[in-house]
Amino acid sequence: MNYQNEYPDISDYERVVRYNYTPEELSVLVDTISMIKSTASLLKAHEATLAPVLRLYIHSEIQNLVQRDMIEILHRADKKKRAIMTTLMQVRTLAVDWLRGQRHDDYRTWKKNMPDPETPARVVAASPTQLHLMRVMVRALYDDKSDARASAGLFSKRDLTDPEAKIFEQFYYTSLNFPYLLSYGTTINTISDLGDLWYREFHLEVSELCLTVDFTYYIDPPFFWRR
Amino acid sequence: MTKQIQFPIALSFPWILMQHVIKNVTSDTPLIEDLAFTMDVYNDTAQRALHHFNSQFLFDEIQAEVNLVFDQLIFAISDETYTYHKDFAASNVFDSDLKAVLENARKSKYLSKR
Repeated sequence: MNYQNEYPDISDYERVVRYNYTPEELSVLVDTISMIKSTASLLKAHEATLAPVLRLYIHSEIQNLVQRDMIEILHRADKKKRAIMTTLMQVRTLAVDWLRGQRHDDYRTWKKNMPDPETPARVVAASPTQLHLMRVMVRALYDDKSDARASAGLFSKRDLTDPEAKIFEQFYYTSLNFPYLLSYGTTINTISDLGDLWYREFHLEVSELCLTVDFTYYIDPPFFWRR
Repeated sequence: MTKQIQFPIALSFPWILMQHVIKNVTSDTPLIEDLAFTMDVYNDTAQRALHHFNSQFLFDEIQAEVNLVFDQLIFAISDETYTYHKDFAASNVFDSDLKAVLENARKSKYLSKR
């Protein structure tokens, strides 16, 4: 509908931003803003408490993968002298943290029904490089087209069985969040940044796109929130 | 777009929100506590202007708007507070019978004698 003739003084932008909301909608938006802001400030206030816990968690996740979950795969690959051994050992040496600092060939002496190996609990997270390399290699390992997942014959197991591939996949998805958890404060700041409320309209003004182009509907905050 | 040199703050969305926070006293849950959070939008905006866009002029723009908005905000709050207390004081000196009649009248759609 064209309201241009009815209220000629009102610009298109005003129609969208100033006169488009009912008081209820504004109330809800204000509530949402305060909710985001108060949650963010609460989370930031407890950063000092959370940071060691997060690092402990990340360390244990990684150690569990390389020392507990990988041991059977290593044992099998070592016995059959598979090519996958090199990659597996690379992943392992990249991040492993031995108990009491002693390296041992645990996968050689490993037997079924052995208790899970002890891993040290440490408040140390992996470095970004370690994390990145680990993720790349783990992703390559469990990929359906990788050598590790290729069928090794009718009666023998694959180098990486389905449940094992699942564990790797799980680690891959979990570790996606590690960098964000490690830069906790920055992450909270980024996700609670509501500067867009001001910027969208500023850019709208600069570009003078107005409502003549459909595109502006999509970059406009009102439309964005309504979706 | 606005056919003016300067962008009027009446069109600035954070300001619209703040205005709403102050003016909208009718709702059951008062919004006035959220005023500081609404102001925080400007913090985010300025932070991004300086550290993300690296542009001083944008920051100056924001700073100018915040200065203006803050003045307006103080005015709006004082106005609202004054009006509230004036109403309160005025209704205190009213005759209680008349007050009851008026309060009843406000509930109905039209003012009537009964």
